[in-house]
Amino acid sequence: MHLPCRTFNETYEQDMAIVRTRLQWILLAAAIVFGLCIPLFTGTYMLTIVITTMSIIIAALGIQILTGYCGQLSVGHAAFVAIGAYTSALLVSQSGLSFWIAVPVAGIATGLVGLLVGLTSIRLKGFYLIISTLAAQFIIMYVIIHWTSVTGGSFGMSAPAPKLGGVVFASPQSYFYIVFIALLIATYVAKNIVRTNVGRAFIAIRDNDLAAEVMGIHLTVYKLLAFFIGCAFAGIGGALAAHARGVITPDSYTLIQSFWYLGYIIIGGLGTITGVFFGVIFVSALNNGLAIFLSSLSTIFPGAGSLLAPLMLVIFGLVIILFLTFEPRGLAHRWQIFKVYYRLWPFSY
Amino acid sequence: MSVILEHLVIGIAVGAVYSIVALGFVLIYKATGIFNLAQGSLLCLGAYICYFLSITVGLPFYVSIILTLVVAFLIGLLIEFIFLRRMIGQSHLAILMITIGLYLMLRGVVLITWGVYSKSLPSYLSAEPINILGANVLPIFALSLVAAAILFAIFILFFRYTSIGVAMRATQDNQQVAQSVGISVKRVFGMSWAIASLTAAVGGIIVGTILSVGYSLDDFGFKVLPAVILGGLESVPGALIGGIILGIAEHFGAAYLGSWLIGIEDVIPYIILLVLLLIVPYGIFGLKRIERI
Repeated sequence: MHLPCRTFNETYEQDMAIVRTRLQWILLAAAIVFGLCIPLFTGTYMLTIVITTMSIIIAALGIQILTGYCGQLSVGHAAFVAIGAYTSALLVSQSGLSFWIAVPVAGIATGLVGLLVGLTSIRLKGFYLIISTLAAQFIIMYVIIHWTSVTGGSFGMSAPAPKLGGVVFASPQSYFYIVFIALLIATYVAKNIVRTNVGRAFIAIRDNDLAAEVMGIHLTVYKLLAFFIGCAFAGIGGALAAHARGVITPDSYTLIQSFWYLGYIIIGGLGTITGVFFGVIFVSALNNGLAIFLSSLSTIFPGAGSLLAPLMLVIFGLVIILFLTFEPRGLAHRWQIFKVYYRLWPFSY
Repeated sequence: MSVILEHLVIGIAVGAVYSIVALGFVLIYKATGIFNLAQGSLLCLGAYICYFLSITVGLPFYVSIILTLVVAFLIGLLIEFIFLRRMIGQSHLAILMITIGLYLMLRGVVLITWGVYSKSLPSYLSAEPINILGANVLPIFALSLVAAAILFAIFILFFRYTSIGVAMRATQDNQQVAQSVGISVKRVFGMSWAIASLTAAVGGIIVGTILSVGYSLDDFGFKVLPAVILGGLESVPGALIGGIILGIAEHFGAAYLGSWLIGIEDVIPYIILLVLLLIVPYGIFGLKRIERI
């Protein structure tokens, strides 16, 4: 821990605080105020991207806890996001449940499915566990695509906009605030889960599961807990994204999407909550920057716009490989280095 | 009875295709300890190279097959040299994620180069079904059975008797110790990727003939994962048996359950896999690891 100058820990509360200096409080308040002002100065297109990015961050917090902290590599995260999206959409549109109840219920339901998949982690680890999450991805998506009477198959289904009293949150401008507050709560919860004894148990399991077991950590309970928490975040993120878009189709939850979730946390940095923000925002900026670049290019070269998806695959794959090769600790580590540098600036020691 | 026998023969023939693809996984895992999720991409690339040489360039088909194998061998060497050479000694999970990055990249490259529409290889076999044990089977399946038999015989002997095969086994067991007895770990890694890419290209040509050459061929790599796991990750005969079990299960599933549950054959392997992994966590022929802290 590098404390800023003239900052001393005198009580236990100070030692445990996340936000510890006045500057950090000011920055946090400024960030929240800035966040709340985003809908005032961005267009609808930009705002849709921001909302999608925020819901992806919520889902990626889940895979960060599951993979980054507990070390249980999951290549089926998109399928869990899909379960959250479909559960919430079904509850609202078919059973007429309120959005405000449906989203948490979707999170819990996804967590329970995650528990079911996590049962395999009791006996399996490493490569074999990857295969069982891969199997979960294919089986879940098979059920969603072929259970047409409930999910609408490959045509998808609608996810109505939430209502509160007489207010309908149909426009991105109003829906933004729901996702923003959800993101704040999710970050707060995730940041604190990984600081508690549960989070430390996760880290112990990640670093050496045998040693963790010898130290008295109940592997089964904590692995299942990691699956539950990770998948619950995925479900809530998926549900929020579904209601933002209004329509959900199975092709936004493919295996490649699962790889993208893994990519977010690799690029951001495994095992840091800040890293999730860096990773998702970096990739989202890359994707949308490329889209704008190609669409401006298509006035000169017609058809350049259709290159977006494959070109993004190449770039994304390359970025993952480059990060793993040259900066395995991700953008969060770079941020840490910057903070240490800034702390002593302009002196080098 | 004869219906069941016919399903069985077709299932085994399909399983032979799976086992050829599964062989590539086992080869890389056995030599380098890397679980290569980009194996399907290598298969897809092999099929497209064969398409390019035989249709676009217009070479005779058998010449283009041989050239495809040569090119695939070189691509394997190149991928190892560019992307994996730096990762020697890194954690297995980091290397696994590199192969995920490769999978994404290769799919993008294939989509940019050849587009989304699937192509077909020239018809080099007659479409008349031939009779094996009372079952009518397309010649390509018979060919794949023969190819599987030859490849497996070669690789079982390769790992047992050639010095590079033994070096590969030693490297998988412990890279540092292997290096200290004079094995060039780099060369072993390069060779194993090259050979795995070559087997993937064989699989690609066969699968490309059965289906057609499309970008989604790389999903075949994930489809055979259950076969690899069933047989055990480090077992060459296990890949053969796992592939055949998978083929039979899939074919019977499609024949008997397919009328109620459309497309069930795509997930049957995974369901069997999940159930089986809970009973035998290391596969049928896999080594049980004894762990120390």
